[in-house]
Amino acid sequence: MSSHKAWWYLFPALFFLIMFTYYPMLQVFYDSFFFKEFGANHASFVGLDNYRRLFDDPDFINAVKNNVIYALGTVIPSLAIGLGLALALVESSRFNNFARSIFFFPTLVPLVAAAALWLFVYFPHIGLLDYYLEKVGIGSTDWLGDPDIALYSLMILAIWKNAGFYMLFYIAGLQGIGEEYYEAANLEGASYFQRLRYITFPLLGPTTAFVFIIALIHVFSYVDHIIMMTHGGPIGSTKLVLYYIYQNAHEFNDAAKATTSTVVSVTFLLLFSLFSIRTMERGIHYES
Amino acid sequence: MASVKFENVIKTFGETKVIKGVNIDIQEGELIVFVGPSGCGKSTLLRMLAGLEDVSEGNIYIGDTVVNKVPSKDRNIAMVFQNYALYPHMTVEENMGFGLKLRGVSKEERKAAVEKAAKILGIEQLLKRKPRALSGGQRQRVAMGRAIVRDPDVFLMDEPLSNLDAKLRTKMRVEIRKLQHGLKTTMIYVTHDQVEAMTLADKIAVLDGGYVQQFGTPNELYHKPANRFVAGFLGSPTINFIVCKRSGDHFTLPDGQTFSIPESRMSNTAQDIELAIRPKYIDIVENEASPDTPNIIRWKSKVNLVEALGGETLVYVHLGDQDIIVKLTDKDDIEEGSTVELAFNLDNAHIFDLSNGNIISHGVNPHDSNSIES
Repeated sequence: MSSHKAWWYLFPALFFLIMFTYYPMLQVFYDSFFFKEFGANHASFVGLDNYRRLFDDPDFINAVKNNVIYALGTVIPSLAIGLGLALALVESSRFNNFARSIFFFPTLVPLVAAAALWLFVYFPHIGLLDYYLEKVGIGSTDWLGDPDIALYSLMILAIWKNAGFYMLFYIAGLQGIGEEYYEAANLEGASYFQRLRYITFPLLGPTTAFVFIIALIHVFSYVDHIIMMTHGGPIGSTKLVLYYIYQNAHEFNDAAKATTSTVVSVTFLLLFSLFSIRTMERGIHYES
Repeated sequence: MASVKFENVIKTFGETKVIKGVNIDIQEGELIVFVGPSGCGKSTLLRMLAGLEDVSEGNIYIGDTVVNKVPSKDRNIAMVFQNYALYPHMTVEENMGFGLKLRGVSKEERKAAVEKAAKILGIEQLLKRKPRALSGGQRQRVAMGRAIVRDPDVFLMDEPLSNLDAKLRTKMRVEIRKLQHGLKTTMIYVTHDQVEAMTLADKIAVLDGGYVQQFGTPNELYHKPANRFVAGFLGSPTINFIVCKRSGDHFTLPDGQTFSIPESRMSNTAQDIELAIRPKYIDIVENEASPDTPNIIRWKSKVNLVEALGGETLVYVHLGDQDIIVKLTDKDDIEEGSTVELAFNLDNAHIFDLSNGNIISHGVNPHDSNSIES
């Protein structure tokens, strides 16, 4: 086939990809070097001024710090729980299929609805959590109102929401590992935990690499629950980068800062994805 | 090294009985081949011995111990799988040393054991490679190496050569035989290939329909088959079966000829029979005037097809409505479409009871040698 013809086949996908992904990305990148007063007609070139403003903003630094804690505290536990559930439920049985649906269910709930649900869980005194904790004598906690606790409360929601999704990938990954490896290891004297350590975990490498990236993107690209539950508060303790961008764009009308922080976070995500795929690939052994 | 014994072993999967009562006694150091068509239960037997399948009824012994409830890892058995099951994330060295590592053998001892096994198999230069960088034959060797390193009581091999090309298969067959002779470890080898079975085995167990049809040396099985199935399964090309109807003292061939069988070779109870004659015991007779000798069966047939294999020629003819294969080693000038006269001596034919396939009397081997045809 001539390359001329190939372009025609590529055209529809390429057109939308360029129009809705690459063009806006470049436009945002371009805009991050301009400043426009809200309501003004004219934007003026300011060089790296927006970036200087951004990195001088303690609010942004705080959002980045929160996001790092949020990422570590969400990605690692939800991957571990997903893997644990997958190991427990990998065999197909009526009970296991039912249990899988139960654990997968939170994935199907829109984040906004999940946030509304968890507002009830976290409600002081009368919420699901406090109601019973008070009964057993543990006092009331302001789960979303205490600046030391609020971010962790949101992390638990995110783990609850995502672990079942990662479980599904891990089940697929586990089912892709040939039975004969376990049989061979069995004959060689491996216990269950030795099989896990020497066979299962290494052979799940490709799955983990993939799920890790997905989880990371999740952490940086969902903001609904913050808007629903805390508005980034109390005192900025739950402000994540995406919420910071949202606030600057729509509440403070500082389009330049929103644009610039978008550029910074997208660049970071891209670099980090590339880096983690590279490093993980080195330790991964795809089937021959 | 250990002996192995199957005692009235039965295996059922749900409602289906796969193994219906198997008894096999294997001596220390023997190389035993389980052979049979697919679905005969040979792999299931092996997997039960390995502990990968439960035993439904009966007992399996390794040495003097009943191992029915002993977990795989405590049976001291090594197995070579059909697809080798080499761990893709480990180097050859790690693959081979894995079993020792699990037992807490020190790094130095492990290295020494792996290098010794690698030397036996000629794969020293591959130790640092990953399985995906190996050819099929090399993977096969590594899989055997992994089994050798552990110095097990019993080696199990589940169709280990079936993924190799024909030439390599022949080569590895010889090597496995040599290896087993060197190590003197009891080995059980499963295959559906009767040539592999005949050339490798000290003794062969022919399995079909969940039963052992016959257990004996390759020569016994080839020359003294216990039933029609064994006769038909071993030997290439396949033995010719000729259905003969009985009427009183006489038997009728498919082409209408009648003949009689010496009393010593017939049972009184059997009615219709099948003659089984190896393709190499049938000859093309050129001297048409040769006198009728007792026990010689002669007939004329058109030559349907000739296959020249170099050293030998296969001639496809028929007797009545039955197809017959003749193997000639001294003539290669037979023409397709021509008519030839064929003859075989009844003394060389096995006689089976048509009703149940059991042997009535064995034919004799005219060359009386121990050579095995393949």
